[in-house]
Amino acid sequence: MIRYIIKRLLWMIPIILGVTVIVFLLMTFCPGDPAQIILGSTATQADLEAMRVELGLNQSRLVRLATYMNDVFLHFDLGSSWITKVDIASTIADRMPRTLILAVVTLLIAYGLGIPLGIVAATHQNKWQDHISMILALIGVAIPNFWLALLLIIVFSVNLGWLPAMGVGTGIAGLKYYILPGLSNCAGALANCARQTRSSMLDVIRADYITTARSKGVPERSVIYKHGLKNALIPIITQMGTTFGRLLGGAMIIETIFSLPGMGEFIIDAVNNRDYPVVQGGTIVLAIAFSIAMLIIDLLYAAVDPRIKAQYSAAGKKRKKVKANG
Amino acid sequence: MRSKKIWAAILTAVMSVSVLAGCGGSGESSSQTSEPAAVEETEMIGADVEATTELTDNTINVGYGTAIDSLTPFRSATARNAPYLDILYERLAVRDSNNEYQPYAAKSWETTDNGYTYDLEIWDNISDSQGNAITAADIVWFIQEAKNRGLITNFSKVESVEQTGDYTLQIKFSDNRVGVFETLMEDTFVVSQAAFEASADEFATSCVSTSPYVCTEFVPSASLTFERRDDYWQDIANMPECVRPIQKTVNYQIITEASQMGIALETGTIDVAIDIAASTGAQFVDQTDAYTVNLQDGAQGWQVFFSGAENSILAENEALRQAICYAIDADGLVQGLCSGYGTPMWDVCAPRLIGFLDKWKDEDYYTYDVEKAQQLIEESGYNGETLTLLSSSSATASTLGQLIQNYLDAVGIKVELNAVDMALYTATRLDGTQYDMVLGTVGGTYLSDVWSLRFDPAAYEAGDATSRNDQELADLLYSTWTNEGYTDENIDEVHTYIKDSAYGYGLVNPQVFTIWRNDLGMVKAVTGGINNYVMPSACQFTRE
Repeated sequence: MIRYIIKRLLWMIPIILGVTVIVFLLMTFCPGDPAQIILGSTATQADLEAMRVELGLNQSRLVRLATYMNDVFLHFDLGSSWITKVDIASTIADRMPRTLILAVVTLLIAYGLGIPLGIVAATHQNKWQDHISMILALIGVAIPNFWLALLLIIVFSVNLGWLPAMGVGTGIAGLKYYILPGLSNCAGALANCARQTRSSMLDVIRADYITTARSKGVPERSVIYKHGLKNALIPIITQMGTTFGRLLGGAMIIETIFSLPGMGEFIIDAVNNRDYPVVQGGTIVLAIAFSIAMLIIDLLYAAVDPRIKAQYSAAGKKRKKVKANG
Repeated sequence: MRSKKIWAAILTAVMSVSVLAGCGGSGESSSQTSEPAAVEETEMIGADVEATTELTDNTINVGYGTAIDSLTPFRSATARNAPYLDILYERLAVRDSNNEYQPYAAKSWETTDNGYTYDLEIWDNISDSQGNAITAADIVWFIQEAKNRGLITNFSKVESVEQTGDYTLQIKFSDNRVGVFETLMEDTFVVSQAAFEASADEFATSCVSTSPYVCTEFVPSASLTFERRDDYWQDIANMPECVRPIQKTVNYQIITEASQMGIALETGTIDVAIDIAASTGAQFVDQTDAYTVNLQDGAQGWQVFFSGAENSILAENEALRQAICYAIDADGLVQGLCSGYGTPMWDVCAPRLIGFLDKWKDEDYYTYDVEKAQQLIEESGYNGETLTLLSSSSATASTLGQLIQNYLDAVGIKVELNAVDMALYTATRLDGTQYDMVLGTVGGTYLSDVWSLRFDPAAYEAGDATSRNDQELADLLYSTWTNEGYTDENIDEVHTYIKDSAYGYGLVNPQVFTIWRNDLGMVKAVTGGINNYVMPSACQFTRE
């Protein structure tokens, strides 16, 4: 198992390198002159040239890429923003936790509600509980998150005054600032989770081993949650991984509405300003976070399904055996 | 089948109700569409109340809609207008509400050769919050550094800057262009060279300044907190009123989403909202019991400029350019773009610019006239070619572009709207071969600055800002560059030439909404700075 984890971690190296090269090249092919953006339309030609030299834009793409890779991967230096001069690593260190907390809160709400909703729908297939659950899921998919955000703000902040409508806080008390953004952001994920859970559970509860468990007199609750849900979890966990990845980079609208300075807003602003180092640094960190999230998802597979765990272990043993036999 | 229909009906009803609930808002907002165009500027509260020197222990919470990513004093021209900047750093001089320069860190200045050379004296007791004493050497360093970085054009006009004493310096300019020295004083922040060089990130996240306030907390793109210094170097009575530190604490909340700004005001999260969008600000206009709405004319306005590049059919076709101006209903733009809270324009420059002549407001400035537009189109020989309108993809620019597209379509002129992101817009807007018309929002201090940025054929590689080369206009323009040439007569000639040739057309000048809660007990709202914003730190109010 440990061997598998190490192997996956090592695989992250070419992935991150690949992401870096692709993002670097994409940004350099984007139309728009960073020097002109920094200096504005009133800059003289000489100022523009001097700025391009200062930013290294007068060098070839290959040289710039090599310099950047050297700085990032050999010296662990993401550089500083061309526009604001702030250190990118420390800015990401400030912003990334907010995005991560928002993503985790969103996932907790979405899967905390979505899985029970899906189970109810599956175990009451074609009954009113199923219909209600699926209508809620449909509404969840259809509602735009910016609209839901404003509705929640009006109810919980303006009218009831229970939760803050915007801003960031620190410590445990600061978590309340993530509740409304999380609720607004989770509608789509909750709906997808409910539908996925229903579909997986319907497959599982028709399986022979579920019938066997019932015939052995296992209580229905145990049949559903212990035998059924555990086996239905694999596709749900897969979906959770991709949802988490999407939440890491795609919460720009929610971050804007709730004045929550996270990674989405940071990278989008940088793209608009052609602030290459910020876009590249931000993307590298997101790629690392996403790769780690995917590794955790794979490990969760092993935790819920002994067959997958056995496969990981067997692969390691097989290699050892082959090596021993020469 | 039947149950599916029932469910579908229920779903439709639920969605309709929820959409209506979400869109309803307050009743006040819906009435704004019938507001007359060109709502007048509102008089500032307490304009006749005397300036105070009495400091309070008050805290004021301010909402502002533009993200603050860095505190660095070296910033580009586009990032120099934010209201918090005037308490983050001191400038050599600051503009008051009458558009007049008041000495701030500078004590006095004079020119002995009609604007080529200025001798400037700063106060001899300036110190920053770390105790660093500021001398003329720090000012010289800042001006040289700003010149080297090329972030603001005015610094490039400095030929030399020398320290002539501990607290005196001399600045020489390459020409004696009107207003260059004044705007340079406005853009020169007083910073200790030693403190700046000791900073790891050029003050981007934490700065040391000579201002009466210290920035105690800065969360980029979220908030900025200022506390008044106890060891401030200047006597309050010597300070311009708009920068006096009357409040003890000033909290800026960055709220980029317009409706959230309104909600923050309603819930009391903020006391004052500066530069709130008209669509949201309009909701508060009738709620006079709880809020005071102040409207001021914007400092920039929106303009359309016509390409002067040879490949554009507009370059040599004056009649078609004029037809386009007549075909656009400026009052309609005021309604469509800013919910009625704006004014038409009378020049490509906004009235706040120094030199603007009030008599232009009584002239005919392409008053909406479809018949005249069609007559001019016939004269122009326009054959249905599609014109390209370049704009940035910001919400305001895109809306304005669509409105213009519709007005021109109504008189038979086909327009393709090319709304691009800000980076691409910046890269192409000075190249007239890339468009036939370009939307802009241009501001500055003096009329001659802005006109020169747009119409000086020597300013850019291919000509003026739309690749045109009109030497006659250039000569008129150059006559306004000097202090003695900046006369009403010369200014009027340039205005008339640009208007008659229709090289550019001022479209609409949205008003700036500043709203505060009445429970603040505002006694005097003080304005100033580049955009003449309300200065929350300098206002007088009764709430403790």
